[in-house]
Amino acid sequence: MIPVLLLAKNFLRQNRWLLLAFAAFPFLLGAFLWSPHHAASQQDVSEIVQMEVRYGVVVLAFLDSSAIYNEKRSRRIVGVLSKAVTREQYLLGLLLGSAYFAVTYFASVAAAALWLIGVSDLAVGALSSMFVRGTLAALWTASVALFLSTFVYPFFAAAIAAALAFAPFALSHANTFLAPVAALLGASDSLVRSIPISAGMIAIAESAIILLLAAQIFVRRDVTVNIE
Amino acid sequence: MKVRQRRRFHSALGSPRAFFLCRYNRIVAAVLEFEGISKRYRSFLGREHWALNDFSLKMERGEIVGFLGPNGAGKTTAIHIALGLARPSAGHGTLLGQVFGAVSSRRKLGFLSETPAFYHQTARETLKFYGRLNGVAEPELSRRTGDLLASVNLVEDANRSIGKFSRGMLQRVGIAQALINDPELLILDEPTSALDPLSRLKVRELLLQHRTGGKSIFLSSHQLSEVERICDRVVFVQRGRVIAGGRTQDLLKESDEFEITASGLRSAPPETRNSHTENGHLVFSTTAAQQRSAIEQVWSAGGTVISVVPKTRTMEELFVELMTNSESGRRKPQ
Repeated sequence: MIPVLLLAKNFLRQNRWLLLAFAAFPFLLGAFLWSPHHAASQQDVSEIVQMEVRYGVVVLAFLDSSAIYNEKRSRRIVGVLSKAVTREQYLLGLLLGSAYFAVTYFASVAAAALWLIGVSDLAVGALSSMFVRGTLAALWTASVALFLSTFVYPFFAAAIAAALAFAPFALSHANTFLAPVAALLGASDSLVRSIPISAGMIAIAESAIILLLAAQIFVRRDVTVNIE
Repeated sequence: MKVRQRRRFHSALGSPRAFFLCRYNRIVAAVLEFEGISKRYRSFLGREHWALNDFSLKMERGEIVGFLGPNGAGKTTAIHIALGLARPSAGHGTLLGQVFGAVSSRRKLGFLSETPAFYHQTARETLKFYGRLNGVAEPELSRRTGDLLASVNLVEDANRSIGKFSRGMLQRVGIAQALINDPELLILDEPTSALDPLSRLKVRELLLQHRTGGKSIFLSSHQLSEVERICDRVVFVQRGRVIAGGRTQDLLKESDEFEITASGLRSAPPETRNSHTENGHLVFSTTAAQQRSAIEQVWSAGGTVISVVPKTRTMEELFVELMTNSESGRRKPQ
């Protein structure tokens, strides 16, 4: 477990400036709506939060799809995988790093929304739900992007992962197993208190299965290029 | 054996032959063995390039083996296959008694890449990061980190970000991280290419010290004089195949001839060869059987014997000779 935690920490460290920018983003956006005299309308905040949640999911897809590629190109992957680290641990480390990223970003989205609409039981409940739904949706998309990036060029991996996450939004009814992101984020109002438990469980289970599949492919791939 | 069991057996070890090779190597203690390894790279357009072609090599415990060859010979590819970073297209091998790619063998291994690349953190943090990845725990980790930073002369820069390091300093960090887990086998790909002469000397001492502790070193290098100095055995590789190999002393020994340097002589004694003048001294060659009579003739002619040394080639001469012969042999029409 130690290598996984070390790799997750490293992933976060590598992306610290991006994380800082994204953690500040909801507050900067909120500054446009903020007024010292009255709280922002719940409808406006709901729309902004919905947009920010979707941004977060897409960013995680891009981040994870390019993680292996960047490590290969910088040749740092050689240093890490020549140590006692399995390919499964390596991928899990990247995904755990993404989970940290998602948790920080969605916590920042929730905090910025609370700043705008004021602290109340209703707001805290709704934003907690958004935090959980957003994190799970991002994690599912990140695992799909990571899986695809083991055999597809990173840009295509990110694009396909984002399409798989968001295309079902266009359908009137999507199967939760095939489109857990739509089930998690599909509500028209982002500030709902309920958490679709079954969709959440499916997203977690599918992320785990996708990660195992990714490890099976990654273990058969060369992580070096012929440099001679 | 049931079909499912057989499948599992094959997928874990490649083939029954690999399994028995693995068991055998645990008993006879070969630290590294390649058996008939081939590696094919295929371009997007389907063009093939064989980086290794039926490559076989065995390394015993406690040896320092030099791995030499021109650029593109397949040295780095062979190392990457041994580490499990690349998969062979054919063949199999073992590293510390385990099939290539096994995590338990990598835990006892130290590796320095040809182009060391690290995460941007301090040198101390880097060593600790790689140490932890290999299962080294505190307080041993801190002790080893301190010792290794001192060994590679990086104590003063230990808390500086690696992003600001020169190439030579990065290489020293690379050598230190390779040693952080006190490895049984050290695989070094061009460890001293960017080092100044003093640092090179220090690294050489470090490697010899490591060998004294019964550890093995696999050294891929273009620094031929270095290989000549520290390697017990040398393997030459070209176009993905081993073309020559053996004990360093045996390979460098040209014949049973000796080179005698003398002063105070006008001409070389009879029955000696290749006489010439070097820095005002007369230098000539003689066989082992005629060495005594040649020396006596120098003395009787009033000369002084300055040195008698067995005639050897340098590693560079041997390298050039082997590579040229191999290349011309390849070009000969069938």
